[in-house]
Amino acid sequence: MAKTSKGMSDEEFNAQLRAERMRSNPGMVMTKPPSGPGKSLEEMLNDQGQDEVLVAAPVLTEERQPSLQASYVQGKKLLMIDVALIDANPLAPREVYTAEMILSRSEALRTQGQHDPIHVIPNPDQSGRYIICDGWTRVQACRMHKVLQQLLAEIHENLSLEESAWFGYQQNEERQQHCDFDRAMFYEKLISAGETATSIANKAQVSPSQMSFYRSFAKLPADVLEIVKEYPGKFSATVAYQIQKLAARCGVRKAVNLALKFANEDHTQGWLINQVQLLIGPSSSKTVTRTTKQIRYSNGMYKQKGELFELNISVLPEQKEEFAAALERLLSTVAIEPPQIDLGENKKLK
Amino acid sequence: MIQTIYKVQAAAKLLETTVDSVRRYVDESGIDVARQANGPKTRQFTIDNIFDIAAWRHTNKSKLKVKQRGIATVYAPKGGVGKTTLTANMACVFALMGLRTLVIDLDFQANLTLSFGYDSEVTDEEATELDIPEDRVIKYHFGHLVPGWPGGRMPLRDVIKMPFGPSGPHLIPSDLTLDRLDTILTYDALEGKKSDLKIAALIAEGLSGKNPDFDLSSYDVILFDAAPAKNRMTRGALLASDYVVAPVSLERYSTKAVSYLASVLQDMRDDVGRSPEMVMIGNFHLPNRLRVYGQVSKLSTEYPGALLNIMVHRSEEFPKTLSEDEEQPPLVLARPSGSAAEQLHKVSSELLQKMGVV
Repeated sequence: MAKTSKGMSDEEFNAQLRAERMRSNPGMVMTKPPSGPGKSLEEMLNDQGQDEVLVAAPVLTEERQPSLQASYVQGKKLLMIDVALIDANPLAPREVYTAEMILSRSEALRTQGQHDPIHVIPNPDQSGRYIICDGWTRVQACRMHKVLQQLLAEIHENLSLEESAWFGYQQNEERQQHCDFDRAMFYEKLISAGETATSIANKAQVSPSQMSFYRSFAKLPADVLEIVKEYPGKFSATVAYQIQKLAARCGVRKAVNLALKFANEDHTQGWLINQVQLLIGPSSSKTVTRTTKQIRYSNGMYKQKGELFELNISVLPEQKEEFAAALERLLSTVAIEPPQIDLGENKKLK
Repeated sequence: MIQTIYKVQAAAKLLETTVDSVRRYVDESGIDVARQANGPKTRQFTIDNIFDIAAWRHTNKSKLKVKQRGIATVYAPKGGVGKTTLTANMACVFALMGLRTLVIDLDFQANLTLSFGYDSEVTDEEATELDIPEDRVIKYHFGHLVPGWPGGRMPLRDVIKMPFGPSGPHLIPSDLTLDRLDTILTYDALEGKKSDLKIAALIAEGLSGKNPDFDLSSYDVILFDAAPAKNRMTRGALLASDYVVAPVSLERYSTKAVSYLASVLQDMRDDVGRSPEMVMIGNFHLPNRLRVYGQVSKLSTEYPGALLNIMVHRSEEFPKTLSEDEEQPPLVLARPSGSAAEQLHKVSSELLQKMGVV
């Protein structure tokens, strides 16, 4: 049994020390670690071909971004981008992405690869990231079903966020991928972002009245909206307008019931309009209707609103006298003379 | 984790200062320290209080100057050398010195995570059933911060845990599914990508402070706790680090493991021109044992300057297993007056100097 250190002579101690040291190194040649300073983290990343590293680890800083190898084809800037680097567009023109839609796109990507590039703009708030303009279904398919880690993207550097959303909108319209609900939600996002309904109507080439139909989607009760989201193809802007009208007049329950019936059964839009008329009819007949009439002429306007008549018209000089006489004659049949006020008295009052 | 309450004497030990100074810090900082409800109204410091004072002192009073940020991987090619215990305790000491400290658990066994009081196995349902606060449940780990993690990358704020409040050490926890990160890195490698550099590039991004969702720029010290296996995650952490801190068990023959680590570092240097500098911490030191003396002598001769002068002695104060003492915070916090805590303070301080942080 080994003695404690205190109980040992120097000789014994040294002998045991040598023995122990021999045992701790049974003839093994120990590898030495590298000597001298190595590269810094930045130097290593730079030297290792940062573009490749960045693709592997999408770490894009402002300094490194220009070194990404983008190719230019017919003036278009194309780049392979990691799908994790692509953010949704807050003004996205499409609202409806169903799980089936994404799955079927992922299968198409898996079997056929990517046909066309997706379209992105650089994310103004986060250097190295991108915001989608067009191709969000493909990005989601890649992310959710692990099809491709990178997608070929065309980068639109000069588009603002709103312009990028309009770009996506036009692309989708061309492919007939929008339903009325998508359009309506897109318009609402733009309105929230400060654009006016009139300017949106102009850009989207829809009439102001159509625009007001689209805007009914946003006024639908939440329960109805849920049904619309589930069957977006069934609910046109007109249908949304009718159901919103029904909800406003007869309550949410009736609106939900009708929306459900319309979604689940095979009915026409005409049927739905009739149903709404039937449901709100009795109550609407009780309301006092005010006659409103407005006729526009190239030289003026005539408006009738309830008991008030307004006329604003310019008359040719040669017709002026005759018109004035005829109008005064007509006015004399309805006009009531104002009470006579004594001018002298009036002055005193002043 | 049990909330430890300290009296002012223990607080002074933790902060390595005098009782009077602690009282003065509390008064000047305005940190709200509770007082005993009954009897003498002595101050009762929580762990969070201690770290808050440490951070306040560092900003307002400390002569400790941070020269540069330190990034290190605590790694030992073989297990059972006290790697995780050392990491947890050193992280606490760094934060007690007032340094902003981040520890990243890269071992899917999640022992470091457990040592900070988070049982990575607990599910949401179990937490509800056992009345465990939601923030004690591990939902995300380091893998969730890495680009290419299925389902997308999480912001750091959703992943990070602050076991002792914002001023204490911050933790990126781990759980069993972290192993999948290695699978992702392997796939990357098969696709011809430089997966080894992925973690390094990620850390570089964090240090640049340009990504608000992954900003590491405010940390003074970043410590990876790597698994003993030399997998792709460990290699990635080593490449991201300036130092590899290798705990060496002095009661057992450990030269082979150290030699192996040296060869790993040499391969790295040959491959990418960078490798972390090796620092060894002697653990389970028994001063009177000749075998231990032999080990120390051998390591000092073979790797001059790599073995820290201060060593951690074998002590009964250390818990035998982590799970046995999971209700306890790391030793420096659980037993601030013990000799083991004192050694851990000294070792941590020497390591910081070695790394050029202070």
